[in-house]
Amino acid sequence: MRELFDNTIRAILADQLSPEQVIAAEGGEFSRALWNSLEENGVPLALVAEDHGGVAASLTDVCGLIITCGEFSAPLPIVETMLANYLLARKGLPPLNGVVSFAAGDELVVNAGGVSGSVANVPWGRHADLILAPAGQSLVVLATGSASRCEEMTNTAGEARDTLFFDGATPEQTIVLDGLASELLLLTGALIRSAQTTGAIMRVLTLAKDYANERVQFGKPIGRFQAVQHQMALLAEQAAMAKASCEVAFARSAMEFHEDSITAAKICAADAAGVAASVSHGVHGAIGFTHEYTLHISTRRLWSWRSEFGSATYWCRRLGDKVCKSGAEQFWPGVVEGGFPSPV
Amino acid sequence: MFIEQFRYHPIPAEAEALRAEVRAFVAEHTAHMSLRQRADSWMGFDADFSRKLGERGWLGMALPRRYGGAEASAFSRYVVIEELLAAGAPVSAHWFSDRQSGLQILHHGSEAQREQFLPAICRGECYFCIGMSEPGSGSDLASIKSKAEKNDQGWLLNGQKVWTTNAHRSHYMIALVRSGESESRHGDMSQFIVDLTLPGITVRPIKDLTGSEHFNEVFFDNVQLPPEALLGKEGEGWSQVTGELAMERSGPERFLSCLILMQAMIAEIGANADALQQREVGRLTARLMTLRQMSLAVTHLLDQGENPSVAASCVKDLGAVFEQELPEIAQLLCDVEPTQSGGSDLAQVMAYLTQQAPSFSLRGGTREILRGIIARGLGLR
Repeated sequence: MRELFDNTIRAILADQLSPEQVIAAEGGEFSRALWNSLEENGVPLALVAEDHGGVAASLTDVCGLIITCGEFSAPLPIVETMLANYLLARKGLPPLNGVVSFAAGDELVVNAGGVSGSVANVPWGRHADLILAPAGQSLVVLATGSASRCEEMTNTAGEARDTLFFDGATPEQTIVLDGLASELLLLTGALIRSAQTTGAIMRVLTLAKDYANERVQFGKPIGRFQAVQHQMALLAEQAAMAKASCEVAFARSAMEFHEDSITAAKICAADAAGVAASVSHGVHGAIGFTHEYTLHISTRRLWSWRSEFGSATYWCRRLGDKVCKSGAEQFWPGVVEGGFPSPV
Repeated sequence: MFIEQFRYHPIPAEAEALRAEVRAFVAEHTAHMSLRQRADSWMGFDADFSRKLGERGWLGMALPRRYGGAEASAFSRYVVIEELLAAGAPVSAHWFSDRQSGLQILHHGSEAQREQFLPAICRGECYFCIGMSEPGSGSDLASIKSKAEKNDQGWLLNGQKVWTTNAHRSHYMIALVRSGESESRHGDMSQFIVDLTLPGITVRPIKDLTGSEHFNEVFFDNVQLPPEALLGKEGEGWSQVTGELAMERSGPERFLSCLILMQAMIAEIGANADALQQREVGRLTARLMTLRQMSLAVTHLLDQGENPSVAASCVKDLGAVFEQELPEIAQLLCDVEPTQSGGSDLAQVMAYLTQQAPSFSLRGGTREILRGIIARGLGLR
């Protein structure tokens, strides 16, 4: 199934998403035609059971699909929608209709008067029909139409990251979880951003490799200079590390989100993002610094995606604290098992 | 592209089932060792320990049963060696024969060679070293000059190898030497199994910067090799060595050399790490977990009979950077003065591994060579 997903999404994005459209989306346009096409191909429901209209794919099956969305800088919350429907499906609930997004900041209050407070950093919030947001142990589904206000913000790549305000809104659904809803949404967001970051890294690797083979200086392609080759090797190594860590995180999360594998993926992808942006710009020289050339479409996303849903520093500290609390004797067993006990 | 090769390949259950037994055995046999001794990692030599591993059936595990092996998957061996390395067990005696010489003989050797060497390798009694570098040929391996000339008794070997780890305590060397005239730079090399007790061979240990003796120079002065010393096909030495290098570059020994220091550092930090300690320990842990999975992905490819040389180079270079950073980060996080003798376990381990670290990006291929291989794998050049 994985190969089918990979090929389908690549065909759609290669055919229907131009760099011009990505730039237009930065100006606030929503790619409705592309969204419709993704919907017709069942992407929002990929992880949903068949009796709810989906194809019951596993997270492992969609790892490549999400990486590809990152590679093409898909300017809409298709991955957020797919994962939101997955979270509902895991609770036995039907998928949502329309454009769905989610955020992890726990700042809503639910009481008899409805849902009040704000939800910050909602990806594509202004374009979404519905959002998932945490309120303590409750996961609430809210119609964006019920928000009292939308404060528009954008990340370094001009992607909408809005704050929605609610004042006694009636939630579409309220799902009570065993733990904090913010934790579930944070892990979900970290997982998908790791994969999208990996995709953007793959794109800048390809651009830099092609450019190094084409650009001639001192009578030969610059890719023949050892200094350039070794920079490219560093970029490729980081890409491999990001890719490998994502594959592990998705595969291990097939049943339950696997916290420490997702953590490792977010850290490896975030660290790789910085190297990838730096090396790819270095190899391109001045042309890569122009708005006309497409390298910045990916590098500006790398500079934001690496920090969304928890920066490398956040996840490193969280993991490091667990490792130190579980002690030296537990270190190697933890590495082998791929996880460390949470501090009590 | 090789990056696509890094998929998730967990250790199969039947291999994982070995772990508890191996871990208990290793704990028992390393209990008497100091932390500093355990930091020797795969440089610690103990023939008795190697024979005990052989008795357990944990050497040459991938080899066929008829030669004393277990016909186990590469993952079974992986479980055994990562547990040995993680505990700092003394594995050096059998290391090269178990990792590559046995497989090299299985794949390229004659039936007689297999019968002669493989059972002894599996028993932990027959140790090999790898003769590649020469005084004028380090990274540029294809420029080697040692030469085996055909004569009526077999081959007459002359020349010199250098930086040969364990030559002073091994029984045999698998040597890459020139064996004929060829237009191609890679075309006239062959591999030979050289009995290190033959007349005309001189082995001289070279002290490393810590004063330890691990590597050697080896001189061949009219050494008469029998015809059956040839390993594989005449003239195929280069391609045989290239295959061998993938086995050599992707294993857990490429990122576990400083594991003892990581553990000592965590013990020193204790449960209440500060922000910097949390961040650095977390980052190292995430990278180690990922490197291990990358190494397992390459193990899977090797097990499938592929030659993932670019992916293996990736693991080795990333692993060396990781291993070399660890002593630096330990120094950053722990306010401890490294000591060669006296002082705490941590101080001694830190001193020892700080001094060993430069070798991590030399042995098994320098970072410049590895990055060149990766660049070529990308399609540059």
